[in-house]
Amino acid sequence: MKSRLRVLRAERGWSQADLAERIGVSRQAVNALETDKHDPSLGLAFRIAAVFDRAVEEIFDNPHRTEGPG
Amino acid sequence: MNPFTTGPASREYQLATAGWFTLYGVILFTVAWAVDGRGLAAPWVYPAAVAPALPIAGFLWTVLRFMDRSDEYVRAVLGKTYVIAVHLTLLLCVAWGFLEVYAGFRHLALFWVFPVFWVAVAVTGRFIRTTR
Repeated sequence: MKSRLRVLRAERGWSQADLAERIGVSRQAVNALETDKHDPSLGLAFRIAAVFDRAVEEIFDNPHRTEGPG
Repeated sequence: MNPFTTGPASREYQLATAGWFTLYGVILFTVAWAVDGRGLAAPWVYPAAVAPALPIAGFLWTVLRFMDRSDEYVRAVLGKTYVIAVHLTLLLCVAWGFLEVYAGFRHLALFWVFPVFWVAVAVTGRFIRTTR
C-alpha cells in the first residue's frame, strides 16, 4: 500500500524513531510502512492519521477506491 | 533492520532464548552422564529421558511473550518466519524419513528435529522482512 508517510514525517523533521515513539511501534515498523513492506492495521492507520492530523486516505492510498476521497 | 535483534522486547527474547538453550544443554549432558556414566535405570530413566524436552515449553512461552510485547509488524514477521521454519523442518524430516526407508540413509534420532527447526528459524529470519 503506497503512503505519503515518509514525506509527512520529513516535513515535520522527525526521524523514524521519533514517529515510532509517537505512534507506539518499533522503528522497524515505521521503516516497513515507509518502504511498503507492511500494510497497517486499521487501528495503526488511525493512530498515524491522528498524529499527522490528516484523514487516513490522505496518508495511505486506498487501492479499492476509484475516485478521490470525499 | 532485523526486527528480532533490536528493541527491549527483542533483547529479552534473545536472552531468554539463550537461557533455554543453555538449560537444554545442561539437562542433556546431565542425563547423558546419569544414564551412560552412572547406569541410571528404570523407573528414573523415563523422566530423565524426557527432561531435555522440557525447555521447549520454555521456548514456547518466550516466543508467545515476545509476540505479545511486539508491535503488529514484528508480530507478523515473527509469525511468518515461524510458519515457514516449521514447514521447512517438516519438509526436511519427511524427506529424510523416506530417504531412510527407500534409499538406505542413516537413521537419525527424532531429537534432531529441534536443532533443525532452530537452524530453519535462523535462516528464514534473515530473509523475511515483509508481512505480505
